Amino acid sequence: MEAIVEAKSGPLAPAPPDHVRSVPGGKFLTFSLDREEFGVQILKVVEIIGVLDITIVPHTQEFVRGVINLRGKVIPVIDLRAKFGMPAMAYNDQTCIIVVDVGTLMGIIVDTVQEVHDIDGEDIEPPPSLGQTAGAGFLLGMGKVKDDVKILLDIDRVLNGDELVELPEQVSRSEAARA
Amino acid sequence: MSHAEGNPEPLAALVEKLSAAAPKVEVDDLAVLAKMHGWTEAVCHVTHATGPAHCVPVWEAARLLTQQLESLILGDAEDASTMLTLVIEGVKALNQAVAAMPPDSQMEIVPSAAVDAQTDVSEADESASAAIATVGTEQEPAVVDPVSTERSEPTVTPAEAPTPDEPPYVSEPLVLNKKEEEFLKAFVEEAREHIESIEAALLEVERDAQNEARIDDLFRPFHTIKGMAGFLNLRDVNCLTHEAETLLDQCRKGKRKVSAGLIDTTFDVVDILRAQIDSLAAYLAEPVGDTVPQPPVSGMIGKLRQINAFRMEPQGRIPAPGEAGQSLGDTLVAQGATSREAIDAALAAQETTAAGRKVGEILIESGAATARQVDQALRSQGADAAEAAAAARSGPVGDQSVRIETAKLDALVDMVGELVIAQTQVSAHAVTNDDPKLTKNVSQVTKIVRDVQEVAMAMRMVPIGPTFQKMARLVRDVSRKAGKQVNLAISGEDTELDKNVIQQIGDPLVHMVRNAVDHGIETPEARLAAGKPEIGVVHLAASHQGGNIAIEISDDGKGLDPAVLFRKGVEKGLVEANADLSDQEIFSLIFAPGFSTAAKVTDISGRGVGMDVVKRNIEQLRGRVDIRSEKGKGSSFTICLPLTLAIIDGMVVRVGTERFIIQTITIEQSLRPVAKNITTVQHRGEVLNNRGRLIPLIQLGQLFGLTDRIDPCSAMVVIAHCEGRLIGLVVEQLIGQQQVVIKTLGERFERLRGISGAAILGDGRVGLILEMGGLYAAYNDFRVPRRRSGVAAETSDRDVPALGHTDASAAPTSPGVMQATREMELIPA
Repeated sequence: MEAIVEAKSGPLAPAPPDHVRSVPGGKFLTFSLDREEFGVQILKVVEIIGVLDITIVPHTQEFVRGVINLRGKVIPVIDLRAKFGMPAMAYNDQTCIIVVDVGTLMGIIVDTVQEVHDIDGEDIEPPPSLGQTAGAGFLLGMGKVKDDVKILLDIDRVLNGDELVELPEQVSRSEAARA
Repeated sequence: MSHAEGNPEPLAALVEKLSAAAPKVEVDDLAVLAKMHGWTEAVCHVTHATGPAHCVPVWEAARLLTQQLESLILGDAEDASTMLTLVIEGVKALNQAVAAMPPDSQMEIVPSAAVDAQTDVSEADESASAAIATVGTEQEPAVVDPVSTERSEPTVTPAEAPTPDEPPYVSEPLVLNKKEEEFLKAFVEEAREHIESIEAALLEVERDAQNEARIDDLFRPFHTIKGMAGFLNLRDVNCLTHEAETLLDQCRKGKRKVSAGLIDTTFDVVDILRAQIDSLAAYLAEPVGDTVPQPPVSGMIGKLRQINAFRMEPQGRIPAPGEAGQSLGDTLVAQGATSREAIDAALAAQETTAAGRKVGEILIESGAATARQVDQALRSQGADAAEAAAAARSGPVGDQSVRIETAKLDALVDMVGELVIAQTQVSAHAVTNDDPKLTKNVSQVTKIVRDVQEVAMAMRMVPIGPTFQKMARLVRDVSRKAGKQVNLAISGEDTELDKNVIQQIGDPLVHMVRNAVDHGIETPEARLAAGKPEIGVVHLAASHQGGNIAIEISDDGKGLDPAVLFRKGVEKGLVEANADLSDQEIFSLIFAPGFSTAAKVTDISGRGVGMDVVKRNIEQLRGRVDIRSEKGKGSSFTICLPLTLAIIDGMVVRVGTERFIIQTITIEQSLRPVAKNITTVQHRGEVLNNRGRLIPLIQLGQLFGLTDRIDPCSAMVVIAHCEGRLIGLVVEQLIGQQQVVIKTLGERFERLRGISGAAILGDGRVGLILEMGGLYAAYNDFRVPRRRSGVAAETSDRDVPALGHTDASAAPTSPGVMQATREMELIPA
């Protein structure tokens, strides 16, 4: 998770991992987290909603905020800040849940939603090589919009990579810590 | 459905049909005229055959009417419309004649089997007969399959027509027509239902061979399957059912006795038929290759043909596959157009002359029958096939139902659930608004929404009867194999429950019924020795109990022997040899994986798989199993299930800011304890003394990391059933009881322990549904963290044996609790 944060300052290496060699351009929804700007493919986005009442689901990973009722569907909500190991921030009226379709519907909590950018394939740099660390797989590439650089996320990998439920050892550890 | 397949119709019914048809009939409406002709002939036959004097006027009226109708149909009448008027008059006369009969004599008169044959062929589907090409002298049955082009109907000319010594049946590769996929799916569904009713009828016939109505019940589904299979070019199924039908028809007409061998053979046919249908269904679900794999049928068809041929009348020949109903000759004879001898002569002539000549042609040439008559017979044959085809398309006539995909129903129920929630929110808003008109309207809507919900739920409900019927077959087979005599008694078969529940309860029931017969009921000798009746009884009962359904499987067999079970449990290492268990706890041992008490493994049961699967399946349905048993008297297993999987009755409780739902079925009681009933061990391991029962208290808030410890005496304790024991959940508030629509949390949360799903609560927020088994397991881990591996972990495992003999249910000073206490002291605060 720290890898992402590191990625912004780290040197850009020319050889991308195989699975991200070519990133087709297209529309990206951009949003901010902490001081960074990220983008997800618009095709993955289902809708953007404000932060609703979130029901806590016990014994889940730290970054799982809980579940919400999306018009009758119960979907998990992930706090991307927590997922990327960024400092937590109280939710405000800018905070949004972006509902994405990654096979199942999931919500991601972001600081603010910005806009939709058309980014050509040639404006997308391969992600920096970070060796075999887990964070590398999360990235599609670095998208250049004018002078800005947006970190384009492979949202499927971000959300589907990890177990949401705590493992039994973790349960007892965290319970013990809370006790 | 032609009445001839059902019970013979009484005279009154025939006359009633005639009276109904007469005013509407047109001169050129041959199909209706043919029907009427059939009915009048039936009336003739009835009255003539029975003969008493008071029947004569009726017979005369019917005779006249028959002749009039005949001339209309054959186009002999000079003035058709006048003749029609005469016919209508004739029907009135017939009516009067019947009315003049002594009242009770009408009841005695029913048509004999011979008349059935006539009405069978003449009472045809009108629209279908219109679709049939007017055929002149074709002997083939009219092909009524306009869709199929892949394979031609296996029509058989008389030259190749099977005779008793024909070559054996050879099954052909089956290629399905893509366009017919929907029909085929419907066929699979219907065929399965028919197979079930065949089995049910077979079992009854076996019990009471004289029951003619039952033989009819047996015959009818075979006939329907045959018709549909013919229509859909399923040659194997068609031919198989045809032979079975021929066999049963002989029984029905009294030409053959219903013997045990015959019933066994029919059961075998049913099995093969089911295999065929299953393989077709599998192929439809997932087509592999170009042809449908077909389980072998030729052996059985050959066997049936032999059986049939043995008893066949010499002039009878087995109609070819694809030929629906009777042969042309039979039809003509039945209609009285020609004699049996003439047909035989024609058949003989056919064999000697050049191939390709039709029996009809020969008959007409020889003057044995008119072209009209042959034509008419062919039409009725075709109509018979068309009728079956129509049945394949539209399902049983008169059954006012529509088939709907379960997925659509589920979606509807889901949406209605949403509607109910939205409605609750609106009405909550309306109450605070203080607008009388709005309040009134909202309450009206509330009522409608509730009705809609009820209807939506009711749509998924189906009676459990057919599931029980399947068990009847099982009991029969298993008891035979085991050399026992067992009767199955069934009650409460009308009890309705959710289709999904019914689908999933099948397997557990099979296991339990099989066990009851194989393990429960003793051999006849042992029963006699024990002073019991020779024949054992397995009783299946279903009933509603509150919002739940209880299915009880009881037997009057030898019962469970706690001593034997306990010894076995010790042998398998499931319990300690010195453990002190209640009978109930010992009984629940049989649900442990790998546990089997059968001394020897039979091919029926006793492999030790089953009961643990049963328990798991039932728990998946959010139900539970209770065992009662008395050694020597019998056992009774009660499965308690929610009515539906979609909605549960839940108690909403609050812990901290979160709300949880506890299924009402699991709750024994809720109470606010007094301090003296709570034994606290180091402020942690709390045990509630409830009327002498020691119940471990689970601090939900702490377990879920939501709150600090809550003092049970200032909160509420919900006592719930959990895998054969009781646990107490400490919650801050009981909010209330309500029905909730269950939502899955999705596979991402599948491994979550203690939570089985979610529901949308009245305010639109999500509430989590608690699951006791997982909760208890999490609670045990919580008290004794696994992190401390080695000695502590092992100890904790041993403290919580599979059986559920928990430390908490023992006295507070028992070593178990002390152990737990010690563990807790080690946890960093």
